[in-house]
Amino acid sequence: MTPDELLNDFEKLLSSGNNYDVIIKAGKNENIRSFYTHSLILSSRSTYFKAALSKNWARKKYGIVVFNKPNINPKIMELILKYIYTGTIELDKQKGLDILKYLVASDEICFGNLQNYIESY
Amino acid sequence: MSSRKQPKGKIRPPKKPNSADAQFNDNWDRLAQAIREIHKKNASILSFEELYRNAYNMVLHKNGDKLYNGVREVITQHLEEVAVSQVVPAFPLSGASSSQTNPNGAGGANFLKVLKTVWEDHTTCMLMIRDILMYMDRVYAKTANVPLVYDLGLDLFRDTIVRSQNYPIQNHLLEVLLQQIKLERENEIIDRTNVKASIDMLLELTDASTKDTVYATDFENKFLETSSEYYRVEGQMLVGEYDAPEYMKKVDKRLNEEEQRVRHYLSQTTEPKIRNIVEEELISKHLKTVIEMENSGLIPMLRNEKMDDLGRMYKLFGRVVKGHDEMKSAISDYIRELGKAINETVTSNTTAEGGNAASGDKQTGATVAVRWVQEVLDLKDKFDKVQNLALSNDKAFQTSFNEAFEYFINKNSKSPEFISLFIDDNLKKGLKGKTEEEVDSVLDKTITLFRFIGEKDVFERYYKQHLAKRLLLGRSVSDDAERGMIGKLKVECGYQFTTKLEGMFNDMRISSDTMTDFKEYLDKSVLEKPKLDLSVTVLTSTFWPMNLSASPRCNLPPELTKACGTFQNFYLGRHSGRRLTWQSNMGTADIRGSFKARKHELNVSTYQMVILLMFNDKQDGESLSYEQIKGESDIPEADLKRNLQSLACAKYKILVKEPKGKEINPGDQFNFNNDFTAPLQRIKIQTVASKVESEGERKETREKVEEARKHQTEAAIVRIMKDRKTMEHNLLIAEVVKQLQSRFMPNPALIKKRIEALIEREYLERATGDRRVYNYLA
Repeated sequence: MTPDELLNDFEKLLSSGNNYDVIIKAGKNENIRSFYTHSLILSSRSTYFKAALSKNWARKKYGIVVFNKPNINPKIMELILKYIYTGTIELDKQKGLDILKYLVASDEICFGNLQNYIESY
Repeated sequence: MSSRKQPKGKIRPPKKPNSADAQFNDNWDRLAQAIREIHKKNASILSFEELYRNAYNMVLHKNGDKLYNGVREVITQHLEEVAVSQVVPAFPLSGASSSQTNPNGAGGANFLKVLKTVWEDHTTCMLMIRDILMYMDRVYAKTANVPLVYDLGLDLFRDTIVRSQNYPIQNHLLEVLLQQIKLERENEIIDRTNVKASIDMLLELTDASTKDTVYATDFENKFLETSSEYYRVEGQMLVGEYDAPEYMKKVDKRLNEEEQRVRHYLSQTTEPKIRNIVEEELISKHLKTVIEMENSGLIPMLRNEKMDDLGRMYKLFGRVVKGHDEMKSAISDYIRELGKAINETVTSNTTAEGGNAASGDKQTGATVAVRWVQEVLDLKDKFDKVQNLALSNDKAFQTSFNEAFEYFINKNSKSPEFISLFIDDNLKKGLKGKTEEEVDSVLDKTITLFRFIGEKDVFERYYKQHLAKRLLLGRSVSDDAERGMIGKLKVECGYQFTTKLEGMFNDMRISSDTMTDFKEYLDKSVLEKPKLDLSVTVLTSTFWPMNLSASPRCNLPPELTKACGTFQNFYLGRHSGRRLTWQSNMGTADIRGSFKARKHELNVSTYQMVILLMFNDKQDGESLSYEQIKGESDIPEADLKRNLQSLACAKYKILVKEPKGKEINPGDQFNFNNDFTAPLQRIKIQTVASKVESEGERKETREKVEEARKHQTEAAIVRIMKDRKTMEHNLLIAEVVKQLQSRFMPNPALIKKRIEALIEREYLERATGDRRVYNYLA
């Protein structure tokens, strides 16, 4: 198995949402999008989600956590989740403003590695 | 939600102060309220995302310090409340200091339980607060160089609860902890979980100035102090009340308990410290008392072979610096004492024997020797066993035991002789029905005693004498056993030591070949055959211990003289240039005696044969006086008396003496005992057995040894000087001592005398200019 295969598989996991246990609702008003994600992956990749999904804070209904993140735009959230799942990001496809938004959002949720990566870009 | 507009705000220029303040107040109110809810365990109504975002916004808008201080205030306030509402009411009623009025420590236990809950609540809350203030920790705390919020919580807990300035919480806590430990030391059951919780709490808190744990700064020293006092008192009580084995069991138990205590609810860093205290108070301070306890101390343990107790003492005392030294010296002293006692039984025995030496009980001397060696061996066995079973074969102990053995063995000036006699006893034919293996193992042990002898040259002299007798009288159990023993000696002392012994064996072998040749020679020769079978052993005079240079006086019967002459011609014909002297004092003869009842074959010494043959010419009942026998045989007086004693006063009375008695005196009359009967046809008249030397003989041996030492010392000096050519006096002495000490300990005065003698004989000279330096003269 190559690393690429692994990335593909994890990307599929995110896009298909198979066996999801966390729904992230990003954005607000009419611009809301739901992402079907996995607490195991989120927790192990991000301290922010680790705290958010810990038993002190996670509010489960039927075994599913719904996590609202109104101040992050769905498009940005998609990029962040992609990075969480695969460790890659295609910054060159993004416009400058988006990159800034992306930087801000990843700063908020303590994603140090991603932040360094973008800042160096 | 009011925060919805936030994202845009972030990248704009700062808003007007008013609006920012309002924003701050709004954010902070929500957070402060949330922390209070967390303290009330109401967190389920809170949203992580919102609270996190609030804190995030505050930090982002440069309000990190306000947030941080606000949090500090809220937590402090909460902890103050906890102190008043929960901790203070739980103070032990009577006050922890007067623990006697509260013997089972229930109040104290309850206090610890409350503290445990308070602590657990605090840490749980702090974890949640840390979660929502994660951004503050990461961005603000780092740049402002303040503790992370969880650590802030710990510091606040330390200052508000544990070291509260307002309430005596610290005193109560420390006293309750020490009281609980005291109770447990006194075999009360305490709730270790509560104690452990408090200890863990103290371990998690850090002292600001020392950067060490609060456990180390506040608790540990007090704990060690009280323990020290506790065990000081207990040590005094225990030595007064218990015997040594019980005492050690108690100490063992205490050490164990303290180790367990540390493992269960104290810090591992305390382990060596508390161990040192128990060791100091219960072992070091009472070492001598316990060792010297009457009826139960170290010596009684040894006497009664209490291996378990000894082992326990060894292990326990090994924990402290002086422990093993004290044990070692006590045991060594004991060995010396026992050795002294063994030596004393011998001297008292020999003096008693000296008193009636004339009674001539020849066995007694050897028995004393054998018993002495056996007792020393038993003692050695005993301490080997102790060494093995109780002292883990500690080399240091072994060395000190060996020194003790060496000391008392060499205190007995007869030990070289005794050990040789003991070996003699074991190598003699047909004694005690021991198997060869048994004999071998006894001899192996004997070698260990031999090692202790300082004067190995004296031993060698005796060993040669005893070996000579065994060989000449044909009394060796076997050649193999003899050679085995010599092999062992060779291993110990080297080849030089045993050359002469081996030479003796060679003489025996060559003699037996010579006898075969002699028989052939007689068969072929035309000479008249001797009327008796002559068997001759030819001894090389330098190998054997006796003075072989002259023949002792004795008038041999003509037949024998003639046979000797025949052999002498035969032998000297083969080996020209040699000289034979006849040692009639060492021979034996088989003769046939006709008694009334029957004929017996008698195996007697040459001297006895000479005496008996005189009676051939006498009529029945005709007697010979002592003087007649003496005159006719010319046997030296001492030998004559001894041999007459064997014939007339021992088990088989071939001669009858008038007057009767054990002693041979001038004027005694002897008759041939025609009425003699005995169940056996062949009778061995007991020859003089090996025995301890008389004082006169000892003096003679001593002189011979001294003479030999002179030669050996001179030889060593010459050997060394030949090699070095020039040497300083002290260095020469040291080197000589080194070379000779495997055989004996030469004293410097002796060496000096020998050096002077060598200078006189011009082997050496003093260097011109420096009289302390010698030159070798080739």
